[in-house]
Amino acid sequence: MVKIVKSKIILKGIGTSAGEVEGRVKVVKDLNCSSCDFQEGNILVAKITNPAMIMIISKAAAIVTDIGGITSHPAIVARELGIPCVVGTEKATKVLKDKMKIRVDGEKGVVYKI
Amino acid sequence: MLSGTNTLSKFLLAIKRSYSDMDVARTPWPANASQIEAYFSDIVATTIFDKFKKDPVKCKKALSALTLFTLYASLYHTEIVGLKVGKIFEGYPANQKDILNFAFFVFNVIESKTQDDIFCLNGSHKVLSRKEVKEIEKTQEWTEAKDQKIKKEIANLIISLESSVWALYFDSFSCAGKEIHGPYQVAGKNIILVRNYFNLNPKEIWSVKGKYRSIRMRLKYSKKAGIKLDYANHIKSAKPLLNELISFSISVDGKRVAALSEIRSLSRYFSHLAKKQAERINALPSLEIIKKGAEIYYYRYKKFFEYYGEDWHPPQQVYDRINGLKLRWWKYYQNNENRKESPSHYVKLFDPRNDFIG
Repeated sequence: MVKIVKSKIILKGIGTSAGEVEGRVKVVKDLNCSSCDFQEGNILVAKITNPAMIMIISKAAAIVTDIGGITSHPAIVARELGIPCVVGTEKATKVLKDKMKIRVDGEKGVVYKI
Repeated sequence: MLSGTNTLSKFLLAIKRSYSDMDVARTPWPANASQIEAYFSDIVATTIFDKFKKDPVKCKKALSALTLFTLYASLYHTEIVGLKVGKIFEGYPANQKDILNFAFFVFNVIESKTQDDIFCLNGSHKVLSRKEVKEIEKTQEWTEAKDQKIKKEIANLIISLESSVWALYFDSFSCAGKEIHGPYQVAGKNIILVRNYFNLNPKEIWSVKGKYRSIRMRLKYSKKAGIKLDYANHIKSAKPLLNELISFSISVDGKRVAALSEIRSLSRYFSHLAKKQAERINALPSLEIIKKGAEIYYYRYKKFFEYYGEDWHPPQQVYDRINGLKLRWWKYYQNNENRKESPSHYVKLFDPRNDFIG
């Protein structure tokens, strides 16, 4: 029998690009951040994305932001790249910490702590 | 001829739908639209409106010279809100009937450049006729997006181009640097989406010389992708687009590009451009960002002013106002960042029949 582990929902927002993925958080606060020690497969957490972050966006496994709607930059780029995205969480940059392991559900718009 | 309450209702419904998916006041980079446009939108609007009153035929020809998406964006931001602001704050002599007439005038210019519902209520922006779409499907050389590697590289190219036009044109990127139209139904339950980045080297506003001027992407997706476009030129899709890409046809400055290595090199170039351009803007003081924003805004109207034989740059009045008011509007709208307005707020704001300006 398979044991289903219930993860705790720690954030809710608007799911803007479907898919589920697990990974480690990297919070990016620097507007000019173009590398910020961002590793391939990290989950990008930011207030919102901007063009300076383009290099790290293409390495991200998922994107979670404080603000934004379904037509915002993070939502658009995530749908193009086929990676999960949750926007408008209001507090992702406060709740999530670097290296925290999370699961992002871009369909339901929720983030679980695992 | 578009006119009447029904047309206006459709326009306001299109606004409501577009704004329900946006987080407008909080698009913080490098500033939200109000932080910049509040300084001069009435000056642009009344300049255009004066020309309309003087000679509507000439004004129609001049407006027709603009890109379709400049017309869309400028209609509600400039012509409607700008005229209301000019009337309320500067005593500009335009009544509600004038503003309404002018809105219909612009609707009709837009209609002359499109093939379908100008308000995109059916989820598409049709610029090409059926015949033109068939021609493109038949005559273009299409490259199959046969594996994940090529699909991912196309996605990288798209996001690097999207980021580049944002960094080059601020909030005006959706009309000054690109146009997206479609989806067009084609054979085999597929659709074609056109992404045209028509000015990637605006040397009139940025002193840096770019390597490429334009990139046109024609992308064939499975209908399952559920792609829809809204009035504000935003793409929405039911599924992540990458996996639904079937084939593509890309040209750079008129030359076809199909090899993975060439596409990768373009993605890298535009990622670098976006990053450098963003860093340049982040280093500017706020007042300079406002002035640059004004320049970009007027640049959208370059062909309009050139039709009249006039200089397209912002007039001295704009710079005087920015220098005089300093960061007043910048701070005011920055402080409003946490005020999340409902879509009905924007419906009221863009309704030409009232004096509401937020």
